[in-house]
Amino acid sequence: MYDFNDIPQALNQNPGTLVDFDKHFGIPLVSQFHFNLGSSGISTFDIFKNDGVDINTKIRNAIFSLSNREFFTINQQLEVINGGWRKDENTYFSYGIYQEVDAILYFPKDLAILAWEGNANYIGRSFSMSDISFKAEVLSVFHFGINQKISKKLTLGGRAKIYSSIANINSTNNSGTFTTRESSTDDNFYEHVFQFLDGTVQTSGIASFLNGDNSNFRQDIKTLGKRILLGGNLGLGFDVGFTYQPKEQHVITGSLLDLGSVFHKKDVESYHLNGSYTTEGIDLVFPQLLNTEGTTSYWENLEDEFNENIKIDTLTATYVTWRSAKFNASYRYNFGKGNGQDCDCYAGSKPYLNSVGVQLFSVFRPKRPQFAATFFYYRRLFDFLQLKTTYTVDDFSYRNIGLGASIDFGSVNMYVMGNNLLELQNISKAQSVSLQIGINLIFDSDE
Amino acid sequence: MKTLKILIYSVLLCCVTLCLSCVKDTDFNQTENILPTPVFESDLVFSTLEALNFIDDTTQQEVEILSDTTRLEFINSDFFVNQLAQTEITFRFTNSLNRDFIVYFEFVTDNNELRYLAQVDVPAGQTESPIIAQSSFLIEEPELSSFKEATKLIYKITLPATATATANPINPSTLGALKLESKATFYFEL
Repeated sequence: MYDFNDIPQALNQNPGTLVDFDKHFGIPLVSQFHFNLGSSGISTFDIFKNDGVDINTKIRNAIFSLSNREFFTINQQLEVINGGWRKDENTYFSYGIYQEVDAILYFPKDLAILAWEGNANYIGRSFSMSDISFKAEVLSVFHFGINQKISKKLTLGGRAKIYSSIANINSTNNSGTFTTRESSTDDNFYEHVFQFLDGTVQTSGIASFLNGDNSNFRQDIKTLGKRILLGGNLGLGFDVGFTYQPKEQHVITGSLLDLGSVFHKKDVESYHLNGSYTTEGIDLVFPQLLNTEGTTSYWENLEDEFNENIKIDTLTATYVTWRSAKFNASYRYNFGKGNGQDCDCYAGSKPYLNSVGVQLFSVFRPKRPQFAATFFYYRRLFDFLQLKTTYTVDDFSYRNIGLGASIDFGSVNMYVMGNNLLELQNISKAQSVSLQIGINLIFDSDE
Repeated sequence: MKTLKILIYSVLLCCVTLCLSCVKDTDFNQTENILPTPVFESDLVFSTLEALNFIDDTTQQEVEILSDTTRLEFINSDFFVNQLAQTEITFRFTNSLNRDFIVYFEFVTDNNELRYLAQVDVPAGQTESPIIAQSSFLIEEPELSSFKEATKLIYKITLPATATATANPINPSTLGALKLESKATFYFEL
C-alpha cells in the first residue's frame, strides 16, 4: 500500500505522497478494510500438522524453541469515511474516520514453561515475570490532513489525528522472578522465592463491561457507540511525510505515522502487583508445648504473610499510552514511458509504466521495533490497471511475496492487496497474513 | 468493453486464487488432545522438636503422643479437585534423639474424618550420628479422590513403649532433636 499512490489510502501511509487526482471519496465502510495477523516464531502448521506426532510434544517443542522476543500481532482497520479534495494546484486536503484494533503479545516464555512443565524439573531456575509483555487497543481515529506541493521536487504532508479509545489493556515493564531452590536454611527441602515482583496491568474501557451490575446489553451498545464517536478516552496524534524527486525518475519518500498518545481517564482500572516473599512451607511449632493456648492458625498466617508481602492493588489512576508509531521510507526508480506520453513527469509516476524500488517499514513495539524491508516492482498494465508485486523480508518470513492491484472503472477505484502468496497453497504454513481491500470514487478533471 | 472484460477476468483470477488457497495436511481436531501436564514441587510442613518438647510439663515424664494440626486449604480447592492427577508426598526425618518414634500423618476433613493416612517409623539415632528416615507416598486413584476431601493435616508423633526406650526415656537433659522436612510433588492434568 505504501507509495501506491493510485489509491487514495496511500495518503494514510504518507500524508506527503504524490496526489494526482482532484477529489476522492471512499464508499463508506468499504473504502478500506485492512487485516494483518502475524506470528514471528511459529505458524499454525507447526502445531497442527498431521504428522502423527503428539500435539503436546509439538507444543512443548514450540515453547522451547520460541524465545521471549517472538511475538503475535493483530492489526485491523476499517474505514468509516474517507475523502479528500484539491484546494488548488498544490494543495490537497483529506479527511476520514477509521476504526482500528491493534494488539501485540510477546511470547511469555518463562511463564509458558512454568505452566506447561511445572517447576519440578527446574529446581534452582528463576522464572522471570519480565517475559509478560502485551498491549491491545480498540479505538476510532478522526483525521484531517494537508498535502502541500512545495516545489516541483518536494511535496510535504501532515495529518492531525484525534483518537477515541474504546478499550485498552496493556502490561509492559514487568519484573521479578519466582524460584524454587534447595533450602538455604536447611529447614525443609526447598525454598520458594518470589523476588522483587513488580507488575502492572492497566485497563481502560473494560471494567464497566465486566462489572457484575452491568447486564444491559442495549446500554453496552450505546456506550460503545458513544466511545466510537469521540466519547472514549481521547488522544492526539500526528502523521508527517514527504516525497522528494531529485530527478524525474528518482523518487524518495518517507513518513512517520501515529506520533501520538491516548490519555486514559475514564473507566480506568489497573492492577499493580509488588513485593518479595520466601517460604519453606509451614513451620509446625507444637504450640501446646510452648505453653500457648489453642491451635495456631498456620495456614491463615501463611496466607496473611503472603498477602502482606506480595501486594495486589487495584488502581483507578489515569494513565497515558503511546500509540505504536510507524516509520516508512522508500526509494523508487521510474522507467519505461508509455507511447507518446509527454507530460510534466514530476507530477507523479503516471507517464512511466514501470517502477522498481525498495521500502523500509518499522513499527515501534514495547520490546524493540519491528522491521520489514520490501523490494517491489510496479507496473501500469493499462490506464485502468496498476499492479505491484512485492518481496518482503520481515520478522515473520524471508520469502513473503505480495501482490497488489488497483483497478479503475470510470471513477470507481477498487483495490486489493495480499501477501504471503507463496503460502496461499497452504495458508496454515504462513506466519503472517495480510489483506487490504477497498472501493473509492476518484475524480480527476484531467481525465 | 475491453476494460470490462479485463476487469471480469481479474476478478475471476482473484476468486480462483482464493479458492485454491487452502489449509492442507493439518488436523485441528488435535486440539481435543491438548493436555498440559505440569509437575510442581512444593514444600509442605517442617518442624524441629528437641528433648524438652517430649516432656510433659506437669509430670516431667516423657509424653506418649505429641501432635500438631494445620489446615491445608489447597488440597480441597477447586483447582486441585479438578486438575490433580496424582501426588507424591515425601517425609524426611533426621533423628538425633536416642528414641524411636512411630509417626502418623493424618489428612482429615473439617470434621476430623480421616481421608488419608501415612505412617513413618523413625528409628532411634545418636546425637553424633543422626538417623535419616525418608518415606514417600504415591497417592493415585482411587485413594486420590478421598485424599482431595482433606482440609487439614495432623502430624502425630507416638513414642512406643519398647523395652529399650522404657529403660532409657527422654529426659530434660537428653541431647538431640527430631527434625521433619516434607514436600509434595503434584502431577496436574490441566
